[in-house]
Amino acid sequence: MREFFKRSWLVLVCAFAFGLLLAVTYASWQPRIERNRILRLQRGIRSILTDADSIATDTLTIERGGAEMPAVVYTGLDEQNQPVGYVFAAKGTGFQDRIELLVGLGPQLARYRGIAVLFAAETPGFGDAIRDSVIFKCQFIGTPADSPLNVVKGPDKDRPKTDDYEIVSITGATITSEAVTRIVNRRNQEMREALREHTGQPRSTEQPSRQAAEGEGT
Amino acid sequence: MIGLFSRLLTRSPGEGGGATADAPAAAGSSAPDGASAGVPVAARRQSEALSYFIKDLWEENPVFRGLLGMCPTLAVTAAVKPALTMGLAATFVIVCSNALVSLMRNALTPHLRILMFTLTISVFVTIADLFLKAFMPEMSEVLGPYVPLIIVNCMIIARAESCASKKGVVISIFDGLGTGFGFTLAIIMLATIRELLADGAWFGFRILPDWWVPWTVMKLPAGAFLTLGFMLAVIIHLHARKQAKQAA
Repeated sequence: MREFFKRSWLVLVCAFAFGLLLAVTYASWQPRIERNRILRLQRGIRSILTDADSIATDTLTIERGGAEMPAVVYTGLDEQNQPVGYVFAAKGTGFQDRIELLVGLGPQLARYRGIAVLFAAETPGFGDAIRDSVIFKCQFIGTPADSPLNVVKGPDKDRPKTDDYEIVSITGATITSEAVTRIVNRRNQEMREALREHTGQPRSTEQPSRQAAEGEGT
Repeated sequence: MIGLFSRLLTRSPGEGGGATADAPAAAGSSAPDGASAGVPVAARRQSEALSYFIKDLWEENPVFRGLLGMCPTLAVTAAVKPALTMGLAATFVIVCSNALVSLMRNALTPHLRILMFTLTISVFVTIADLFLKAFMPEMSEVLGPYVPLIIVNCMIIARAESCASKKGVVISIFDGLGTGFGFTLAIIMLATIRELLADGAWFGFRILPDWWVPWTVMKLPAGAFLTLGFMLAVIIHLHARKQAKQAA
């Protein structure tokens, strides 16, 4: 034992001192890191639910792989306390790192309200356009949410975009565009079921109605 | 334990490690740096510290001459802002780790050396990472995993091994500053070329006229390799010319 301490005292002392230093640093800066995270989340929610007066937070239970899991949903409310849309977080693997998104659905759950990027570290100049490209992100606004979306390469002058379920990929970032669409599709499927139960919305097997589309303010 | 620490701080560097292989020849690297040293010794130590700083800054630049720290050099030089942040983060880590390794140099045994270097470096990298997350969240996101990856940057461990574990604190700090600023300078030079050609901008401000067609390839890894290769060729050419002049 004496030999052990003689040979390793420096590691033990330094490990303790460094651990203490890191604990103090973390405790000092963690509130600010948490505030940054909340601000980013709020900005993302507000960018989707632009017409909401207030935001309510609920925790739903979703089913994944046979197991029940909690999922947070943010409900945008108008002046009359009526829902104007729902936002939930979604994440998955992108081209070179994980992608974290916020996905918005309209009050009837029939159409998307849009998406916002919380975290993405995709290729600069290509994949990172998912964060700034208004053209790419606007494609999700008003798009029907009842069926999975597909990514197409475009624009194709011989075949104009006529299908509402199509998302035109970003030039040079097809994998990232596909990843975003896949993340949205997968999360939407899980969350719509839970939201239907939560809000008491009837299950619809038809295309989203014109009335519903208009009601969702696309 | 307090006695051990005070012994660590007061023993001369020559007792623990001896002279470095890469110490500047003119600087008198074997000089003791004890508290009892007179004015000429202090002046010599100051001159040695400065010579380390200047040498690491340009002559032995970690990127252009040592080809160290290639991961961030290639990955975060698409624009000047992230390159500057990465350079300053690496400088903070190398200065702090050099100072601490220098303080503990007499207690370092061969079997603990690399372990202690890694432990020391990782502490300051974690602090730099937390700082960016707290005060520069957007930049932290842009740099992504490359800040935590400073832990395995050969440049920092190389300075800990070849200088800080053998020299006094002041010299080690100057060595860290020289290496850190040299690294920052190199990646800013690379980022300047890449951002100018890719976006026609520098530090986010548009410099080139609107008719400039962006070279998108400069934002990609291929652009990083091309720029680095071009700059290495220029530096090697200049170095060879200087050596030929000195020989003549």
